[in-house]
Amino acid sequence: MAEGTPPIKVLVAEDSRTARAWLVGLLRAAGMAVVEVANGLDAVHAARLEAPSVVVMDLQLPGLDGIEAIRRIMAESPCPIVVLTGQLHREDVDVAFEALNAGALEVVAKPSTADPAERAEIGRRFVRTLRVMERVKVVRRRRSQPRTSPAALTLPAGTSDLAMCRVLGIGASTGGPPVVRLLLDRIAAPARVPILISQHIGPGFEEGFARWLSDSGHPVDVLTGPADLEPGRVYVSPASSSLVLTAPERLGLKPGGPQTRLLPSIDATFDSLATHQGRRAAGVLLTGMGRDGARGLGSIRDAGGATFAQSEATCAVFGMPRVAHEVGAVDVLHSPDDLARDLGAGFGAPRGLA
Amino acid sequence: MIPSGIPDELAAIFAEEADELLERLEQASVALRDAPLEEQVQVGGRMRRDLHTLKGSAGAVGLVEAAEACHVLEDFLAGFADGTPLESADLSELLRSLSGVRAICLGVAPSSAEPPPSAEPRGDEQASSSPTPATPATPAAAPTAATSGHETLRVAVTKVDALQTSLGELVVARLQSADLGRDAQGLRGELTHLQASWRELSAALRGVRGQLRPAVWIEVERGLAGFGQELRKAEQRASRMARRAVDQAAHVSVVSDALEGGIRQVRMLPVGPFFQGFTVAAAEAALSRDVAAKLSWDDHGLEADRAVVEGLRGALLHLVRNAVAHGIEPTEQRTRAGKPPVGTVRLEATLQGDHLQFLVVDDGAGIDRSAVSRRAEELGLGARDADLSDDDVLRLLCRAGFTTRSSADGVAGRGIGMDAVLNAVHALRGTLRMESDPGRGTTFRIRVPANVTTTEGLVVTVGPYRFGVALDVVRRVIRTSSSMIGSLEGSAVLYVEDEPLTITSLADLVGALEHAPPTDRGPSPTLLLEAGAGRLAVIVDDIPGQLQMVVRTLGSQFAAVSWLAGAAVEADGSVLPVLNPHGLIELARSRRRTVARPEPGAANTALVPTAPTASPSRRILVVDDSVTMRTLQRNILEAAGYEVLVAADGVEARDRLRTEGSIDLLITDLDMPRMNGLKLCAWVRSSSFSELPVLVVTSMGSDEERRLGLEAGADAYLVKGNFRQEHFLSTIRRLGG
Repeated sequence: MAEGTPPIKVLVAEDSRTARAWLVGLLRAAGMAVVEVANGLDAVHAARLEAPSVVVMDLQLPGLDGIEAIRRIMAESPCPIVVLTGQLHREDVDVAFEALNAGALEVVAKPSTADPAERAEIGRRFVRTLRVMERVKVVRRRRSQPRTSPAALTLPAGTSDLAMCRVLGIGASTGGPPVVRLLLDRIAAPARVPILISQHIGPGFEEGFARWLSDSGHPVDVLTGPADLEPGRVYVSPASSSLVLTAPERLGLKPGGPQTRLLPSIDATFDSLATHQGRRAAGVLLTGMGRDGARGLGSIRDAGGATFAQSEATCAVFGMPRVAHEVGAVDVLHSPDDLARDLGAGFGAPRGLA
Repeated sequence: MIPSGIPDELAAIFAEEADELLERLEQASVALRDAPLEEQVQVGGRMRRDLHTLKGSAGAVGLVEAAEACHVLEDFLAGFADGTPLESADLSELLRSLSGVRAICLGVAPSSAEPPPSAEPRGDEQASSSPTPATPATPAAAPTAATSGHETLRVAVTKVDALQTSLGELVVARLQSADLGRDAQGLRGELTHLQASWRELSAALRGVRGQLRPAVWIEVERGLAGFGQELRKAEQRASRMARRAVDQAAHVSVVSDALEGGIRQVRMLPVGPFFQGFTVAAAEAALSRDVAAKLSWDDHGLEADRAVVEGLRGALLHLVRNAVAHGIEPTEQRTRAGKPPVGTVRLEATLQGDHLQFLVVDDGAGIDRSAVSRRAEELGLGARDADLSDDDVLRLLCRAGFTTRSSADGVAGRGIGMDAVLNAVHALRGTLRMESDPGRGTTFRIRVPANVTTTEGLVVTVGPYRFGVALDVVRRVIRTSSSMIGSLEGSAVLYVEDEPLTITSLADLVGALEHAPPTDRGPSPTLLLEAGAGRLAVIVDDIPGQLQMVVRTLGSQFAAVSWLAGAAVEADGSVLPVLNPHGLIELARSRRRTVARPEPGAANTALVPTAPTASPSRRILVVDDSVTMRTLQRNILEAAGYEVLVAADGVEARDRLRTEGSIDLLITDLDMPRMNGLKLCAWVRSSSFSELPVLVVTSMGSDEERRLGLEAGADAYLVKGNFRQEHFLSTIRRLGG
């Protein structure tokens, strides 16, 4: 940390005294300033009064529940929110994705192991996540999003009409889940094409993510091994390897190599789409940190496929889409609404329209 | 058990939180079964939230199985969210599961469905288990405030105790303040006196006016006036100082009294929640015996000092469980007897003057007296058909070992025998009584002083040792002479109001072995102690005064010393051990049993010294200008049985020799002011004490010194650097000491 920079201020909302004590200890040891609250209402007030750099929240809080607290915070005094959740049970994971939908940026699993080395590692990763989250600029979320006037999606010159596309790949990182869900909601099920989803996600949350996405009506599954590509199915990448095409109609998993820092690798997914489907591929790069997917999106474009990326104003983190724009993988950036409308039109079930 | 690698502080926080949550859950479980339908949903919802919190906390310290168990219970309770009633079987299951979780979280041995502890023979005579007490992981912190919805603060008890200790330090400051006030007043008095003297002097000086030249006289006059003025100013200043010092001392006194009262208040806990905490134990006991019983209580809004609440927790738990398990009859029996089908155990707390009274009342079958007397006969404690009063029954029940054998799987921290109940009550300087009405019920009555912090006490001395004794166990203080002491069955007794009372000396009891009673004493001060049912007369050397004592426990190292209750701090900061009257009485009783019976009349003479008959000890005069050396030698010599006098130099030594009478040995240093050792030696040899053996002990070890010393007449020479106790003592013996 540079000299003179004020320490990161973290707001911890957790009703378990023990868990709170563990968190506070961890964060203070990392040099962060901590404000503690034990219920939802206090969390909302503290977010307003204390202006924390990042909020860590348990979802089961007395009084105002976690999801509502997140909504209020994102409406009144938005800041990056990281949700702490148990991973042992379905209900806990499901509720975590509701939280992401409400505006939380990231879900982190609470430690559920007795092994001190593992706990220390969880603690370290957690602190790293917070440091990263602190730098994210968040957008105030109006309770009701205004309807943007529909602007026609302009496809880059020389690219195929969406009607030609045979497969859609969506890549996303921080802030991605709600947008992915929105897109699936607006694409009438069953989709005309297979949809590949490469979302940066913590290990153990993929099942929950898939379950949550399936509320949109699409059959969503985490790919566990090689499979045939089927239109109308939505495939979610596991956290520990990358979802790739191994042949034009065949899916597989590519394990992370030493050069692959991030998993799942969006670049790997998009590259495989470009290789095996070429101009019949469509790629969408959504909000996220870093540059994963920018190059891969460029490969799709070079192969003649359709490429899209999310606009700065609507991104939780305008990282990947920005780089994609810089390297020329996309010409124009779009809001999630525009993307949803046109992808819905292009890939929705033939009878229905978005 | 919490896995290793978890920091102690976090484990302590968890232990406290888990205990709290589990207690709430246990009570809510009982409420869930008994509450009306509309409330059940809320209670269930609250329980699920608490379970969720506990799940998170357990996960945070790595107790994965506990977290898992909480989740299972959450699901279990979800089944009752629609208002399905919770049956007794479900409650049993729930309590058992919670107990299991408690075991994992707090390391307390789980209570399976085994009967509650110790069977007093009431109604049924099953040999039931007596629990093996094990301490649950009680964290250092404990809540101090009520959960009544007011603003509360969670404070560790150690912090409050530390405050109280600091307050004790303030006492010394208070004394010093008072001293300063007195000094200031003294100074003022002296200045006033000085003023008066000055006026006299001035008047006398004026008398010589005529003999001085006018110019000189004017100078003198001016000086007189000036000095008088200064003196007056000084006196006024001293007067102001004195007033301020006195005011300040009073102020400090008031403030520290208020602080003391305030801290005592902070330690107070509301009795209501304390009583409520026993509902689960009552419910479990009822389930295990298949009787219907409920717990009710009336705390009259009272608060009690934490020490009282914690001190009686185990005792009340035992009494409640016993009342349910052994007092309350099966429903059928009750209805036949015209009683309500559900038995009641009622807890009540009332304030009576400066005492708190706790009642445990049940409307059960009462104590089976014939079973008690049968058991007493089995143990050789009395005749089978003896007519037993309530007091007799209680005394028997409270004997260690009267209750039946303990079973292999004892319950940790869940209850204690009746003897332990009595001990707990006594530890709080309280009393235990019982009334039992066959067929109607039983009442246990516990009375304890409300204020456990300060006690009025007497300071007594025995030899060089000082002890404190709580005033409320001292019935009377009398002076006894040997003629008053008789003998009964080989023990010394004192007749007080025609009743024989065992009498012994405190020195004997506590083992002040080297204490030889002063030989020229007349009647000795004697304390008549009365604690519970025990009485004892204790002879001491002196009773220097009274003291407001804050008695603190001494810690586990002193657990074996049964005759010490703790210690208090005196005004000057020194530690005063406080005697435990129960321990002393017990000690005297056991000594009486083991000592062989001497001839009648022989017991009394050892207790109260009469004329000295032993040969007088040898008297040694130690001369050294170093306090340390004098003290060191004196300690060694007194321990070896000599009488020791001291002097700081040769001159003082000479005076002592002249005034003190028979001295058997002189030990002297060489290098001393006023008159050194050589000169002293020479003087001794030329005086009427020329035969007095002289031992020179000195730091100077050169041959020259040695020669000089021996030439001067010393009989032996020891060098301090080579000082060895045995050598020292053997040299003295050799010289005829």
